[in-house]
Amino acid sequence: MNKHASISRRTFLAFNYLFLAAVAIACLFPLLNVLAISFSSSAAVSAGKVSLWPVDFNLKSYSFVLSKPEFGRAFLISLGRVAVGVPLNMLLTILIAYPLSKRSHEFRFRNAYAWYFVVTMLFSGGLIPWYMTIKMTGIIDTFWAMILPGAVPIFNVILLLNFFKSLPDEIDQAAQIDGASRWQTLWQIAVPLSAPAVATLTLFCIVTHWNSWFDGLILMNRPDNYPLQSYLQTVIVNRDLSLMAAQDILKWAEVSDRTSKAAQVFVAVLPVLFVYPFLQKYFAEGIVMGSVKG
Amino acid sequence: MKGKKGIALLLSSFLVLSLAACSSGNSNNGGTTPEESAAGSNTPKDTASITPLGKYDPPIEVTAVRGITEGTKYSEGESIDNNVWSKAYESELGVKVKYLWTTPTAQYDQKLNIAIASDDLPDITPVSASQLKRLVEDDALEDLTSLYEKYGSELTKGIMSQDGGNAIKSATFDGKLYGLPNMTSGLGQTHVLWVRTDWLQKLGLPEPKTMDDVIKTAEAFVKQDPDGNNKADTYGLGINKDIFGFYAGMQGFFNGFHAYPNTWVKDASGKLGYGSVQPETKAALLKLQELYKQGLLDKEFGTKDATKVSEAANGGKLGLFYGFFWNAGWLQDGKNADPAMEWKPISIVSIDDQPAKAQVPFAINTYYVVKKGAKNPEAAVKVLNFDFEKLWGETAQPDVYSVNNNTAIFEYALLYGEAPRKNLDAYLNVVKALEAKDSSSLNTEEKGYYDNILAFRAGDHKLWGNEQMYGPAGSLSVIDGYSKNAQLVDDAYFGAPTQGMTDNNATLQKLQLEVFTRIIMGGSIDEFDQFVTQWNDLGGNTITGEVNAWQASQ
Repeated sequence: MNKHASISRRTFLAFNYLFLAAVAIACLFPLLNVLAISFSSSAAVSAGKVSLWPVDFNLKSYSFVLSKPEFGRAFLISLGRVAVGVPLNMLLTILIAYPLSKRSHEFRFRNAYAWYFVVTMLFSGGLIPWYMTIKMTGIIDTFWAMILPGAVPIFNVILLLNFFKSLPDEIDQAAQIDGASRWQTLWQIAVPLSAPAVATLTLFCIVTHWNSWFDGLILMNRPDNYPLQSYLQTVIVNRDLSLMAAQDILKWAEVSDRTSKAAQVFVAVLPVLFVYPFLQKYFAEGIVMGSVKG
Repeated sequence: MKGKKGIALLLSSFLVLSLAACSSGNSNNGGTTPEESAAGSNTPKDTASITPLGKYDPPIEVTAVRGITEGTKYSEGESIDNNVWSKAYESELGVKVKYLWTTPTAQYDQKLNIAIASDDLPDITPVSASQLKRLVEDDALEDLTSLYEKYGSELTKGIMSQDGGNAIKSATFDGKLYGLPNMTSGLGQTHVLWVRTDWLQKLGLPEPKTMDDVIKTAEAFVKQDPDGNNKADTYGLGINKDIFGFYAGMQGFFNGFHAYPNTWVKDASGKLGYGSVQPETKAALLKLQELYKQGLLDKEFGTKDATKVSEAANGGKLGLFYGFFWNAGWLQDGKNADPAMEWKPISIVSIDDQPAKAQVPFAINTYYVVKKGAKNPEAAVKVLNFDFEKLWGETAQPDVYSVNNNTAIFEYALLYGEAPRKNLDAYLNVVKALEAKDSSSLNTEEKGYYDNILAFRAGDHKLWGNEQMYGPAGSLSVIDGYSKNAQLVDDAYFGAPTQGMTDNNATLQKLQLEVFTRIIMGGSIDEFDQFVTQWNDLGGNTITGEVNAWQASQ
């Protein structure tokens, strides 16, 4: 900050920081509320006493969640999904983005290929054809149904493509003069130089895989095979009571488990919370750099 | 030439044969006994499978899909594909049930819609009323009329018609039965008035007997500091943001004004009209507006759902609200936190000298349908017979098939239904047993309530809710009173959603909620008349026409 900043400038900054801090707190508030609920007793929660600080602190809901086989199973499925899905996403993204970042005189039909991919981003077949395609390919109700249909994230391809384009041609040419093959240029020159973009896109993919729930719900035939977020959705979602049979409502009446729901939400957020700090430094940089052309 | 003649002869004999087959098919529908038709079309070995509970030999396989209620538990080693029910289906009925997919109930509708759209139905499917209608229109379902007649057991037919046949009618299109309704009770969805009697005592108030009493009670609960903390932090009458509903809804209040919102009622001329647009509803709204002005309703009710309102009740800030009989289950948390808390369910009260009648919604929202061309369409009826027999029949084994060790085993049954009077009967039996101090005549479920009530009376206040529902002064006694004194108004429309409803209901319901909320919060009451006009213009007229045409066809 400049020492000689005018008073109006400083007032602006003060208010700006206050405002941004308020926004940040507003974002944190729901999470802290969930955290407080998860540590409170269910009686206190149902009496509406819990806001930001746990009442009757206890760890019961966490021991309940950790002893729940469904939760653990869904958690593992989600981890597996990230472990397999993200590398595949990134591999395909890089392999598609690199050739498409070359100009037409280097890569004939580049435009045709580019459109081939972009069209899928602009138009989609809709839910039913999507479902039927997956069903007829025979991967429905398997782990691969969550991996393969979204294996090529076109939006990421375009981001990375622009990033590759922004690398100076000269580097490429120098590598070729030194005898590097295309393959070597890609993996030893282009990808390392694009670390910020690659890191950012990896984060995108992790979050997408970790957070997606709809495909698990629709494509898996047994709740046992749901990834974590699909499972959570079934636990947390507000039911439409008009759709429930009377005996279900009756049963629902006996369940008062907001604390364990809160604990499950919180545990599910943790992995992504842990990943963010490690990738954050690339995050802002990567997005901006991809959009600026050299 | 000779060869050709031979072929012609052969062809004509085929024709004759096929004609004969047709006519024998017709006579079957006309009422030949099962044995005869079995002899005609099946091998004699199959005779047993013709009776309502006969076993298939060799066993058959039927495919199905289903939602599974949240929190369903299984015994060690069991699952939805392998449990007492599935084993019994296989060993006693010769039916092997194969679930193509299962999903939690909350997502079932969504997943099923995709399955319907991609023409991917199993043999037996539970569907909603609108899905039923859509499937019937698509001609995707087997006609169950004659199968139900032929295979339905006495018990099944008894339970299915306990509501006067409305349930069956609601699944009947052009005289053909296309779905087996999942029987349940609308009585369980009538309102009682829950009131905190320890507050009444403290303030020296009587139990509310009239609408004026209710309002006076609400006023006292707000102004006379019933929780004794010297702060004006209590609410009068509980109301949730949807205005209507199972907890802190206002149906009971409107019913006190002889208004029956969200249901179809017969007017003096015998025509059906929508309860929400009748003049009685206007009067009730006007009163609610008054209460709101006086501060007897939560100023911020528009943002609070049922769960939020229940926090106020459990936290000792609310002592009066309308709700379903099982709301005692939600109040249990409050009782646990503050054992001095006492609630009592009482009958809804009237604004004038006419007794208030509680509205009874049409409760059936699930139908079991059979895919057109299913190999054994009658299996659905037979499985239903079997389920009813094991649950409520003479050879019923409730501890094996219904509830045991707090495990809801009945959830595993493929088709399900409850006698509409089940809860009421349970209450009557439990009370009788309590009086006689003899529980030997109770079934397992009732015995559970009985034991819990005794335990509560012995001092375990964690079981208080049982006394409040099934005890002599419990909420079911209030509903039993409605039923005995003819204080019930049934929803007069119980057909599938009409085209007009499918097209416009979402809009109309939104409009209604907006206008009602505005009026309660102080808007001009003239808005109600505008609402009636708007309602009619936005599709209400069409729907009323369709509903009356439906009534004429009944």
